[in-house]
Amino acid sequence: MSLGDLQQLAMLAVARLGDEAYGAAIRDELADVAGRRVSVQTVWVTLVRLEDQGLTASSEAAAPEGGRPRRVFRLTPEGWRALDEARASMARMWEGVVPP
Amino acid sequence: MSPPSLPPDPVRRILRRLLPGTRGAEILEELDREYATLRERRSVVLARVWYLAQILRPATWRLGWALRQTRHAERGAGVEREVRTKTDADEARDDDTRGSRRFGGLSLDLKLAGRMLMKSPGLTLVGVLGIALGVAVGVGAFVIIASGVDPELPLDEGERIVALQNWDVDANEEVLSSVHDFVTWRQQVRSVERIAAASMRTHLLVTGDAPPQDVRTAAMTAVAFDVARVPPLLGRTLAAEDERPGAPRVAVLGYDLWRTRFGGDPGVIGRTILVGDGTNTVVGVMPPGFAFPMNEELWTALQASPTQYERGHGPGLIVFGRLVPEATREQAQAELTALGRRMAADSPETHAHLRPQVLPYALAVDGPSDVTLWEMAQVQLMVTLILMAIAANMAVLVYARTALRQGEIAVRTALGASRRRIVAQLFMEALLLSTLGAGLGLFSAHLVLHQFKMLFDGLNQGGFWVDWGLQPRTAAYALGLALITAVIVGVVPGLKATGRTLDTHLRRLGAGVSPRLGWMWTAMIVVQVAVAVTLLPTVLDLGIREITMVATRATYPADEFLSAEVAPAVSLRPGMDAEAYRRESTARFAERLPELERRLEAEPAVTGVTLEGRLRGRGSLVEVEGIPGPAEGGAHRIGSAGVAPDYFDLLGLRMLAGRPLRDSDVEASGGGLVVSEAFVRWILDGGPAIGRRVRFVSPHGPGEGAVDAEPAPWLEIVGVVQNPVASVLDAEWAPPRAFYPVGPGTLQAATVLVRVRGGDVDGFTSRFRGIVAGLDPELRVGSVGSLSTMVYAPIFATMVSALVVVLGSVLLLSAAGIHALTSLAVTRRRREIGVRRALGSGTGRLLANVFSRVAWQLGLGGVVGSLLGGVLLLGSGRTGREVAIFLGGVVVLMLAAGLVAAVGPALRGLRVQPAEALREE
Repeated sequence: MSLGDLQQLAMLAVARLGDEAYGAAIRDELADVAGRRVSVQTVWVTLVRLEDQGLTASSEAAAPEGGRPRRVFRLTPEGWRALDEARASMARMWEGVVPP
Repeated sequence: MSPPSLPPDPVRRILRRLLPGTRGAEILEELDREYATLRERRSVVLARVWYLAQILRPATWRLGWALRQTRHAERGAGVEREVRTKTDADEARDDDTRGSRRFGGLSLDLKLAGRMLMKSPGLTLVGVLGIALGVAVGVGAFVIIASGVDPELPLDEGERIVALQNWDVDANEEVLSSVHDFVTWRQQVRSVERIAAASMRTHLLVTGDAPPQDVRTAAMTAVAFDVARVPPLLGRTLAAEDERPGAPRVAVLGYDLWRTRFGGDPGVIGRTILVGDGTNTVVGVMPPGFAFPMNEELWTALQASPTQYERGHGPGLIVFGRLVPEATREQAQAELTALGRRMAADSPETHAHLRPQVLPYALAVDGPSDVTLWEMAQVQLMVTLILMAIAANMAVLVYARTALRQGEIAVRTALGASRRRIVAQLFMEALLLSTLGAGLGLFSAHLVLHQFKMLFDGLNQGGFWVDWGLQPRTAAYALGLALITAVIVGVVPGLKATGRTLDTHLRRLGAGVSPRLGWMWTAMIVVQVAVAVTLLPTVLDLGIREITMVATRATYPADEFLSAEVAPAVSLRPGMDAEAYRRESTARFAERLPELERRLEAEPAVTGVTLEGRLRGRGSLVEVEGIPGPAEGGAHRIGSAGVAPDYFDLLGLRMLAGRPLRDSDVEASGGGLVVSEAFVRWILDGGPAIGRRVRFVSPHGPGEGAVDAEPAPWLEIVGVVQNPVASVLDAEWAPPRAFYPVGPGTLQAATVLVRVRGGDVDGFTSRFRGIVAGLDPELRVGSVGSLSTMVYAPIFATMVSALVVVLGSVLLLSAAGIHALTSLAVTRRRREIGVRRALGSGTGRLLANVFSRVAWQLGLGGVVGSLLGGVLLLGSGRTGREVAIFLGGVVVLMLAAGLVAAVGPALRGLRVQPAEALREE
């Protein structure tokens, strides 16, 4: 399964954040680490599609103080596999390429 | 009504629709949090515009689509799933029976109507847009006028709340009531119960060590809360004992203020705050949306007793109550009139010229004044003209369309369709068209009105009851418009087309000739152009006038200035009263300000520094000696600001007469006053300014509650300065301004204006903050930015874009109407062109023939329209040159539309084979 650029970044953000991988945190991670500024809606479209493809799964985590329960995402084994494949194919493409 | 700290409810509802299911709710919460952050860090207006924009973002629609596609939308929403299954089953059943049961019925009509509309997409588009524009303009005007003329109070039995007020027959204006009137009415009027009084004004609120903030307050009698019938959210409302002169001062907080200022702290009850001159204890918090009497956010007790004042004196009050059960407003009026006569007989010197009135509450408290009524009449005129222009275009389009379908109608009749059946079909087509148009119009009106409402909310204008949302009565009005349009567009031409002339069309069918319209066609083109040229320049003129008034900009290079509010941090300590607080802030500020100016001026990027600040009691109302004005109590309404003596010099504003302000003016008790050119022109009527005396007055008369202030001192005009702001469109039009002197030692807070070399304001902002923090980390800095963004840009942008869209659409619609007519007229001559060509006419001659006829029709319409339009415009006070430009512009546009429309059909006509054309004849 080939992953889009934003899908890869979102999955990596989910992986990096671990138990804290909820909507707003993923968006902040994309902005802070990858420099990709996207709207809440765009992040969620990506997350919903990834979940539909079975690459991520989500569950409701306990509510923070004074707030509502948050939906936390995690990578499924298929997700890890797809991410790994994406990295490998990228590495293969780089082989023999020397930037000027 | 949503609490003001939450996103606007109607927008939220739309977003909720777009984002379904439990996931949608979670995502919406994230958007709400983002809204709250924007609101806190930037501004309410910006946050609301951002939130509204989320509806339009493609990402939102993509997300909505994704949620609908996935199983997540239904997760945890069993009811939704059940409903969906049932609907699917219904659909399937319908599918089975659709072919037989419904054949020939409503759905077939609808399907046919849809097909007919799709067949001529251009005409359908113009029709839908035309109706949408008409409905949007009509609905917009309806909502605004209805909310001004017939407002509904969103309170329990709000229609039974009335205001009691005096009408001054000598001055021909309403006057605020005195404490004596209030007490007399409360004791003696029987048909109105719970009579209460209130006095509204803006006060500085000081709490803890947060920066002082202006809040809109009402000093009310306790019973005013009973009139509103709204219980407190926390603690209590005011009590009768709070009104006693000398009783401990208490305050009730509005929900929004409680959330923003106290972080929604439930322990706020018992806290001490400073409201204007008084130390108050918080006793309660009101629920969201409560802003009684008008749009207030904090309430204190009205401590006023008639023994403190002579009859007819004391604070100006608004008085209101509830009609007792069974009593009508007319009965209450009769009772009050009788009481008024007795009061006039008892105290003729103060009451002989007063006539007490009982009015619906909202109308009396914030009803349209004469000025607003005049503005409303102008808007009404503009709306009527726009609607007339749209109606004329729609009529022409429909006529053209029906005329072209005579052949089809004749065939259907020949095949056995009844007259009723054909008219029903035409009506269904028209209904579909008008419903689509009305829906689009309603939606556009809703968006534009919402935008306006948000802007007005941001400026705190208008009463809490003003609701420009789509109410049932608005939707009913739009549906009514759609139905009437459908009858006019469908039924009337349908009846005409299926009438006596049908036989003629049937006979003509054999010859294959399209209907001939002859002189009717010419007359329609002439009338169409004449109507457009008569009405549109006047509509344009009204629109441009409106923009001229609203769109003002600085006459100095405002974008080179950094503007920042700076205030010292002074904590409100227990036992500290307002005077002590003011003294301490002023002293602390006076210590810091000169040093801040010195450090800023030492910066290489800075050309100069000056100050702007306001003094208490100096607002937008002034009395000018010897020249009574139109506002309350003979005052004039102006813009005013306190400025440092070097203000005009740094901004580059020229002195036109007299002298600028001096340092000695700052120290003088009254100080001098510099007024703008527009002040001399509009307020002094161009008369001599220097030496004339002016003083600031309070909108509610002197004093409030038990405190009665001295009248403000007279200030002498010492200079006249060039207008600092003027209209973008007409440099002659500028709002009147007055400037009084301020400096360190008179201010508790100020706006520091820094002129930045090269205009790189953004680049200097962080340096500015650094300098302030380096001087005194306790100095607070708020609203930093370029001075050019601190004007009312959003209002300007919204009004201009709304006007441009409406005017542009009307112009385009008129052009489209003329285009359609001319195009059809030339198409009708296609065969004639072919025949002429067969007989040997050259291309140039044929084209000249076609265009000369079209030009003659358009030109005649243009001349008739110019004459009528010219009379209308000259009556509005425009110069001959301006009239020529307006008329010329519209005439050229209409001629161009007509001539361009003729090109296509004329060329098609030339391509007709002469032999073919002869055979058809």
